Amino acid sequence: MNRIVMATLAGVAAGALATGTALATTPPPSPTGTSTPTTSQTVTVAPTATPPTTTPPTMTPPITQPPTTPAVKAKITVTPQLVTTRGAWITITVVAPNGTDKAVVESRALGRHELKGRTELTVRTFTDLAPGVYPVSLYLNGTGPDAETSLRAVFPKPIGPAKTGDGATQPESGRAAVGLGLIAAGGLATAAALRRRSDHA
Amino acid sequence: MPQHPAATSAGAPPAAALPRSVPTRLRVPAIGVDAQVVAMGLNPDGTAGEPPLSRPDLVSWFSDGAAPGQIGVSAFYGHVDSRRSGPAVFYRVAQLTPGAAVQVSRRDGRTATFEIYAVERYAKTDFPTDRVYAHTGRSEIRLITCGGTFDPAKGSYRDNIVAFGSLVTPRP
Repeated sequence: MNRIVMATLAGVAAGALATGTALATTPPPSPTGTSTPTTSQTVTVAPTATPPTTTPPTMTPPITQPPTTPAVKAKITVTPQLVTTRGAWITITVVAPNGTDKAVVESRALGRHELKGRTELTVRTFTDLAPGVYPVSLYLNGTGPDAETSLRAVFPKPIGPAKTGDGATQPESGRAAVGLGLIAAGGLATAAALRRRSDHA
Repeated sequence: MPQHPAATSAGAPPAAALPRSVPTRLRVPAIGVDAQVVAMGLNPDGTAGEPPLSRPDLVSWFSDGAAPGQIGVSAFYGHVDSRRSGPAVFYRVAQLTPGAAVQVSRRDGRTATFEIYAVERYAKTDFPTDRVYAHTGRSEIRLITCGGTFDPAKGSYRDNIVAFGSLVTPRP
């Protein structure tokens, strides 16, 4: 009796094991909804393909051009930019990409000046300067100008009226009125004195 | 601003400007003026410098302004009268009429000739500085003196007379 029970139990266990194995190897139902009938048959499963081992690609830095510096532009500035007297001193400052050996600054306000390697020079405006705005130009190699700025000349104007006369030719001037007044007063005083004399007489 | 004849389409184009040179003599044949010019700047109160009353024969030129013939306003001042002389150098400026010539000799030997286009009178209490000295973009002249009635309390005339002129001929 016991042997029969044992055998039965073993058979059941084996069957359960086989079923479990079959279920484990059964591919999941397809997404289309058709389900693969599960069977208890042993399915040979191809060995799982191991993902290929690949070495990660070497990260070579891209070949890039070295960063380029923006080209230096020629520049000229004057300080001060406004003058209020003739013959005023001003400072001219220049920036030149290839130096200032042959550079020249020119303006109708102050003439022509060679820089000869300098980047700054101090000059005077002309003493006969008229009011106005004057371009100040930088020439680096004879053609151009390569840079330009401006200088403004403003000179003071008179304010108010002119004092040009002292009234010497004015017949209606205060002096005449005062004179007439004195004459009139003198006349009255004389008349009063004569009257007193006649009264006493 | 007095109407400039060149502002109308019938006006002749302005004469070419001259480089700066100090004026030396001023002539106004219509009123018998032939005077030496002296350069003067501003008074401390900002008004234009004028010759002393002891020299009623002189005309002053505002040296910070344009030279006669340069683009801009060239301003000249002269007394209308003085105790020393009675009538002074600019006594008859108020009698000028449009078309009168003003000749200014310069140190460089050139003569700038102007033509008067307006003569105006302004109260000193309301002197139109901008109107008289405004830059017009051409070469112009102003002859300025006193006028109107005399104010004995202030010791000065109540008005200024301003003759406006524009350059017609620079002579080399």
